[in-house]
Amino acid sequence: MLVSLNWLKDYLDVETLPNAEDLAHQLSVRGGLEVEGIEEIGDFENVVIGYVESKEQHPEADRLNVCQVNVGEETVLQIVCGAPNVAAGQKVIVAKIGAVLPGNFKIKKAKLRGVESQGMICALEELGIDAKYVSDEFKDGIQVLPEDAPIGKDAMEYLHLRDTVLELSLTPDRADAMSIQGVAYEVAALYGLDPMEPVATYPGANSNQEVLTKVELLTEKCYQYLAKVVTDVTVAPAPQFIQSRLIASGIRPINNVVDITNYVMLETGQPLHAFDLAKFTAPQVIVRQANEGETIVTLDEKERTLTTEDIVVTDGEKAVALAGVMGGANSEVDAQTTTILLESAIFAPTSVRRTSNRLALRSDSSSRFEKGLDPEMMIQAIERAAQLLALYAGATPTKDIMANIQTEITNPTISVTITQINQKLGVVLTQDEIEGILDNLGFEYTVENAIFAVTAPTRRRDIKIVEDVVEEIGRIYGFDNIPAILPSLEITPVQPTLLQSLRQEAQATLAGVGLQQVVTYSLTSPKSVHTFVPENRQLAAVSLMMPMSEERSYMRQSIVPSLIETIAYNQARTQKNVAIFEVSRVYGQTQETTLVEKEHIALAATGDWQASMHDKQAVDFYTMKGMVEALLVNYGVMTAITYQRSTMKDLHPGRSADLFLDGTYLGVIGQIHPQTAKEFDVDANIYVAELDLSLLATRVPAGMERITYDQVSKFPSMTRDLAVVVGNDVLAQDIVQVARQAAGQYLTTAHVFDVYAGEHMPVGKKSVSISLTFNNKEQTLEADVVQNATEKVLAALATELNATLR
Amino acid sequence: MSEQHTLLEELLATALVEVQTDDLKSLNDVRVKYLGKKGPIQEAMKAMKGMEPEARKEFGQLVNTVKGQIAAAVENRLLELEQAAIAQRLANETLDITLPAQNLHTGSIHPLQQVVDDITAFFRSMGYEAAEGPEVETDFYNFEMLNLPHDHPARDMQDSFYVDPHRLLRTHTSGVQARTFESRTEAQLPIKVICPGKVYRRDDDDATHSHQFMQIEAFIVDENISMANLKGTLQALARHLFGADREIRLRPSFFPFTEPSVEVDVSCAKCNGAGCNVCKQTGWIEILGAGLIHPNVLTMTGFDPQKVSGFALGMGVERIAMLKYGIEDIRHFYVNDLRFLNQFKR
Repeated sequence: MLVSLNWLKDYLDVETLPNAEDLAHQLSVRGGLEVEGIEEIGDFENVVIGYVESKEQHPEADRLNVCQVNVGEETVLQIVCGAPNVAAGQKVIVAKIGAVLPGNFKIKKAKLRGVESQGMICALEELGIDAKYVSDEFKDGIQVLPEDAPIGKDAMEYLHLRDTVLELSLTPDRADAMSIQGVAYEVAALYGLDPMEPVATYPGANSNQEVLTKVELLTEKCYQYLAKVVTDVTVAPAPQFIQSRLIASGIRPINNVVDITNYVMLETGQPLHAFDLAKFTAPQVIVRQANEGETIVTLDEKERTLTTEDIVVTDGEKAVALAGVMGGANSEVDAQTTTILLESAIFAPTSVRRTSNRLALRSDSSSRFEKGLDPEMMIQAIERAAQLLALYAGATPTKDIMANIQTEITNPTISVTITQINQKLGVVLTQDEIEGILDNLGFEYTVENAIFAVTAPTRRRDIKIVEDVVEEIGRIYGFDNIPAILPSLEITPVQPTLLQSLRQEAQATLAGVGLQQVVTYSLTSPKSVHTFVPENRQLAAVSLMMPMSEERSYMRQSIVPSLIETIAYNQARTQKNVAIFEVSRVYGQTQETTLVEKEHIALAATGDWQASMHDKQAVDFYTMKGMVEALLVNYGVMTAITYQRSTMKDLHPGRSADLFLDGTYLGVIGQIHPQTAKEFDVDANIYVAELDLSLLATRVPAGMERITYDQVSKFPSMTRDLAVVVGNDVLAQDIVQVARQAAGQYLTTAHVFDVYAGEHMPVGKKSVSISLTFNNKEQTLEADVVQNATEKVLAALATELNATLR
Repeated sequence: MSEQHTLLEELLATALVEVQTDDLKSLNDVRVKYLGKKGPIQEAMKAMKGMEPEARKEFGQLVNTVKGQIAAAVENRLLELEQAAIAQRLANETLDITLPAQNLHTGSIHPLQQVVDDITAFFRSMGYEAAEGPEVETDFYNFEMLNLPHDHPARDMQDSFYVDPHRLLRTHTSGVQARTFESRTEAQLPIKVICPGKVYRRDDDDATHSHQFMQIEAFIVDENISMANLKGTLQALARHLFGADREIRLRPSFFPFTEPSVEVDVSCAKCNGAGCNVCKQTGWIEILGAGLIHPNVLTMTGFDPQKVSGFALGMGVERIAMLKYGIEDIRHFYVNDLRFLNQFKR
């Protein structure tokens, strides 16, 4: 909402009105009407009205004219002008030497192709008026003023184009501030002023009863409807002040009738519509719900197909307007119009909103209807329009109004105690103070036994409940004046949930081992939605009904694709070593369309790991495995983890593993498949992992509970290293497993520490070295006990894995 | 007598010169040569046997003196050589201590997560528990239970991504409010919850808009929660985030789920309120929205607004991070350029 201060001053005592900055501050901080900007229009001097006494062709330039212009001073100014429409005998706008026009354009004495020019004849655009507001007549040239424009007078003053405009950003509840008068009421409340309440008067002729048959409402969605016929209308340009105020408010002037309806809408907040009554089949108004499939051509010359949800204004035969949204082309006011029917009505807000939303037809009018209107302004608006039409369109209005009030619009009376007000605000206001605030707001009230009964005026349709009244009192009193006091409540211990703890620990652990956390978008492309999701675990995808792009149309089921894209982005910017992780939800739905949101942790790394000048090692499968295990060790679940070769199609079949937690699928680790790498347009040297954090949160004990203490043995341990030759396909995990089972009660650890294949090794075979450590907590181990156990291990390895001692 | 004296003294002089060798082996040779069993000192000892007691005593003292001096010289030289050897080794081992380290490169937490963690910790310290809700939310919890019925004009404020006619990607974290209230009774008061999470709106991504962003919401319900309590909490939060000398300012605003509703400004940390480019010359920066929980929200979830009241506040995590660090483009958070992220290491 743009508010012209010139206009606002019509409703407030100019003497008491504060400056624009203070006004803007108070409106924002106490008014609840946020001022986003203050614009000065026409804020420059030395621009006056001139009279073109003569025009001659420039001797050196075909397109330039040399004009002698009288600006009411002793000397006539010689001005070189390039506008095609300049002519002798015109009144024009002259920027004299010394003027500084918008864009810091300084007017100086100049020579144009050898001819001296002492100023500039201006178009409105050069005075800072947007081209869209300039009438077609002057679009390609200078602005020509009416013949009676006084020579020498300040042109901006004359054009009513020197103004200060406040740009308000309104919240949806403050429909009352969508008008100059509404803002005037708010300013009055803030400063304790008396707003003027104008009464429109004009010489009226006939009664509407004589010229209209009826106003009939066949739908309850039209609450109230006022009609007034105005005859003898002469359609012409509106007076300059109306045009200028419309321009300041962001509306393009058209003609006096349209401009006056717009002007009154801005002034009162009540949208008006003017029909050409001669285009009605019968002089009557019937408002009804549209028929399914009914069509109407609206003023923008588009045919609209309607549903029974829409409301139409008809003349009994045809729809002449889409109520509250836009008029019909069939009843449009044109240059020949002489008799108009003015409409001032209130339609059901939700109905107007649905219609304008469905047809994507939002207008200044619909945005007001859909927020609810004030019946008092409805009457004032139609009378004000009649007055302005009489004054500026030579019209004769009827002397009364034909009204059909189907639904009364009133505000509730709200009962609120002084205690309630003070408790909710946390202040100590007296009855007198509250009364003073309500007086300023123009609210009606009675008080009895410290209980207020408050009724807001109908322009404040947002004041419905106790809290609304409390807010009004609070903001006028000033939120600045409310003390800041922390709540004092019962103390209760707060614990993060296990999932929250695990997430926090994952962040700390993974960042600690050298991975950078990233946050990427949840929405992905249909192509990526099931990438890096095991085929037997893919859920039905969650997709958007109306995505903004295909690239962001599905909710992801794996984080890995986003991580690969992040790697690609960084590699393209010469960041070759990338190690990242993300903790995020993934989304899917089961067959029963039940939504599933699970939390995952994904890792991705490529390039060198911990690279420095001293040492560097390329990231490989085991690096990624190490990172994952760092996390699993922290969670205390490492002993419950088993690995199996993964069959995920997006991973290298020989360099990928599925992880199982006590036999339940937990996630996957691997190098990306060359084919997948190609699809992502990245190098295949990327290693990824993804774990189901939600599953971990059901299996991992809370932090301190993960630890079991085992007394450190007083007796020395004995270690035996064995190298066994096995088939290439035998997994280290299986060797350790067999050794563990065979080694007996004194085995404490068993791990593989070397693998060798190649020279001196049969084809298809490898040598695996395993280290077994034994300890007895009761006494020093005897060598033959260890020897015995070692032999059992070798025997078991031979039987189960066909292993031979190297 | 004097001849032997002279010989011994000459012997001593020669030995002291020979001791000044530069390597351990020749030093040992010198020691053996003079002090060994076949050396001149031993020879001299043997020669003493035939002397008169008086002369023997005198000569014996001389021999011992010479022997002691040679032994000491050898010992000294040995120490000198060892120290020289150590010094030499250390000199050889000298490093350029300004060369880069062997990295123990650590990663860091994403800046948005850092802000979330920080604000969560701040509220936890005051007894708020962290709650989470679904990101694909029902229209019911995202809108209706928050006093945003169908056709409410405020639904314009947040155009949303629907996945079907009844479910959408949540446009705010406030659905957690409705879900929390619904799961509790008045016997479980006070309710103090902080709720961080991802939210989604139909915005074209540009420097200040993102179709996905993070929000943190805090809410409290008990008897007699007032605007003063909200203001106290906001002030503490603003000072925690932006410095102990920050002031806050509440401006009336509108949210369907709070009444009264306020926008909260914090005094500009850069100019201290004097006006600068950061605060667009106003001295104030808008950081969040808040208000007392709307009685309709309480009623719909089974609480009696006559008996209990509460406040809610919600902020954009990106906005907080952008203000705190002067980050100029919201897309940085989601592009994850390492050159951006690495700056948030601490």
